[in-house]
Amino acid sequence: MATKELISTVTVGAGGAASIDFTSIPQDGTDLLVVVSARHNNATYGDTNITFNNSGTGYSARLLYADAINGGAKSTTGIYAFTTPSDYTANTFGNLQIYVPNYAGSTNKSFSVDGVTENNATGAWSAIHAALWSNTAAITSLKIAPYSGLFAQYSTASLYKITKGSGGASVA
Amino acid sequence: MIKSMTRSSVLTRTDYRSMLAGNEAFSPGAYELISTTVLGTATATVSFTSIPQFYKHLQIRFVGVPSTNGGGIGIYPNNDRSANAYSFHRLSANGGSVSSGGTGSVAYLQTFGFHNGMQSGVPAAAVIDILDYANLSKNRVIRSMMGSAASSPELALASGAYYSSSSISSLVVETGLGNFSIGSRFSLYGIKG
Repeated sequence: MATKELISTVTVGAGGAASIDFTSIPQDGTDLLVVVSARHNNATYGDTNITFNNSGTGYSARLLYADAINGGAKSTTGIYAFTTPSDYTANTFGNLQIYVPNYAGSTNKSFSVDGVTENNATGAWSAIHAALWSNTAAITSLKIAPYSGLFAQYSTASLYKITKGSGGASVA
Repeated sequence: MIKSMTRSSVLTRTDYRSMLAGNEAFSPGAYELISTTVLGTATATVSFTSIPQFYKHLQIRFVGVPSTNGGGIGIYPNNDRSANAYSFHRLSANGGSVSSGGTGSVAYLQTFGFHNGMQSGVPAAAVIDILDYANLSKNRVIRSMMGSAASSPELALASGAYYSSSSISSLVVETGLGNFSIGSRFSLYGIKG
């Protein structure tokens, strides 16, 4: 039976944090899931960067995005995950999910990112990505950081390891 | 006075250096089913009550068939129908175009039904995540992925916020038009964190 196990949860304390980091990720799982509830102290940008193994290169994505007023689709060399910026409704945090299949394998890493912010107003950003990290290394660390500023207190991220079940047959 | 003694029938003995005694280590999963409702009667509203407060996140998984055209899906934490309790936004597509919209200060949290809504007799599915549902330092934010294979299909990434300092102890899932049909399934999961 497949299992989903919590590896670690990081909660940002008073004073904020420049990033949320998961290191020494166990290599005995099949997929990774990161669930993020975060807000940052920058009012201009909602963008949040996601990097693997502290590598800043090799990322690409196709995404649909919108702020409930304007929207669109694009291809990009970065990841435009969103966490809630400081000019949105107070005490309101984003809701973001990152899913990485086969994270410990030796192929390039495709992954999905879907995230929403919320705001007690007409506009709030959301985006869904089909993303790729063109690197065959196993993922041993993962960092989430706002494009500018710090994550606010009470921001939290949880890393889960999903392990495939032992049943079923292999199909040629 | 002991007159006779029978020897033990234990023929083999294995010594272990671990309390596991040769068994595999057990890692408790982080994803637990709290409750499932499968409708035996068509209804517009499904409720999850007495939600345990010791999980970090909640997830609702829905697959069901609406009885009427055009309905959407709304979520009401604590069955709260107060004015200005919610905002919601969406990024959605109907097979021909992408659109977005949203609003604040409303009495309902709509997660689906932005274009043509669900179609009578056609299955729809949704995964709805509520993070930090018991954290009173945060307004609760919901993210949902929903789709329907209707003749005018709809796919949506939707969000909503519940502006309340109360923990979520119950959830109501409601279609705005008609009913969910017999056999529709609603499952609530708790996620540890």
